[in-house]
Amino acid sequence: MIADEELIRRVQAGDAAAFDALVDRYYGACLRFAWRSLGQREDAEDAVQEALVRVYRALRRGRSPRHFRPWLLGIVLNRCRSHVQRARRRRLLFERWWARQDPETLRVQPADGAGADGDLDPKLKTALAALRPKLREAFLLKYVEQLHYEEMAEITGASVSALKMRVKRASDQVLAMLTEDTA
Amino acid sequence: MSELDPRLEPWLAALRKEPLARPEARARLAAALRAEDARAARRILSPPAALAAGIALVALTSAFWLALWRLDTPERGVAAEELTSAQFVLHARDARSVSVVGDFNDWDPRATPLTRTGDGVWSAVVQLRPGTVRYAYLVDGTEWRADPHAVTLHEDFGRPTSVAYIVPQEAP
Repeated sequence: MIADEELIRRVQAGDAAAFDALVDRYYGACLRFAWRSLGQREDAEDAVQEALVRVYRALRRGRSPRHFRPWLLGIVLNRCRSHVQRARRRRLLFERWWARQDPETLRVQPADGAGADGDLDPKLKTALAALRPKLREAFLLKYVEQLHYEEMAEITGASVSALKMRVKRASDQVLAMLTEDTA
Repeated sequence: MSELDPRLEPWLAALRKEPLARPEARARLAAALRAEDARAARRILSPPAALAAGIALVALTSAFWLALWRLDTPERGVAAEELTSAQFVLHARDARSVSVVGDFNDWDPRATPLTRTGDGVWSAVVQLRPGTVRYAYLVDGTEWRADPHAVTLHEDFGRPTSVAYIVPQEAP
């Protein structure tokens, strides 16, 4: 297998196929992180695409990250944060509009729920969704993407001690939700 | 990972399973990367040509059609070549009014009314940036309607919205 560093060198030399090889290698992990973070496949695909285009642009301009995978996940994380902000804004605007409507006359067309995160146990999905975004991203980076705390600190901007605290709190909260019916 | 409670392990195994990429998502990514190459080439070779370049709309719906025009009034802060004109179309024979609401107009039902073009077909043209567009139709000011031909998402506030994708067109 060709090392990441060699593929990056080829991308910097103008070899687009080398970037395709990096995408093949890491797309699944990026999608996993974004999907678990955002809860919707479509949002996750969009965030991953935005991130990979940024990564490609940066490499073509000569950027040489020391460790490619955590750097890449950091860019995906930033795109996910941006999506969360947009979703929050959309919700606020919608609710402002919705509050002005007469519920007696307002009708909503039923839809089939396509695009929902169907591959996870609903209980697990609910537990993840209930986490505050910063707790969720710390939990996913540590236990799903299995980064070191130092790598997490570099890409999140938080201190190692803060991240350890977030991971602990997230783990306790997830575990409590997952075991509350069986305790 | 010494602090990990072993009861979490089976749940983490599920979370660590990599989802399969959908071919259409990879195709959109490939198109976006090719467009990035084209943009870089335009920056180097022919800046004026970039101003005339359009952006293609790829939608998952037959009701959300591609149209390309040169833009006379680009959105503030967005280069002209990064916008496209897209046409929203809804068939609503008995409607008295139809508007489209989405991220692009702050979900304001007054911002983008559709015009009846005959035989119950309503349409409007909106200039959009590449990326995902979330939208819905509002019929007669009261009926919230997802696009029947588009992918529908359930928002966390319980209302369906439609999604379509805009990807940059490759340079000619």
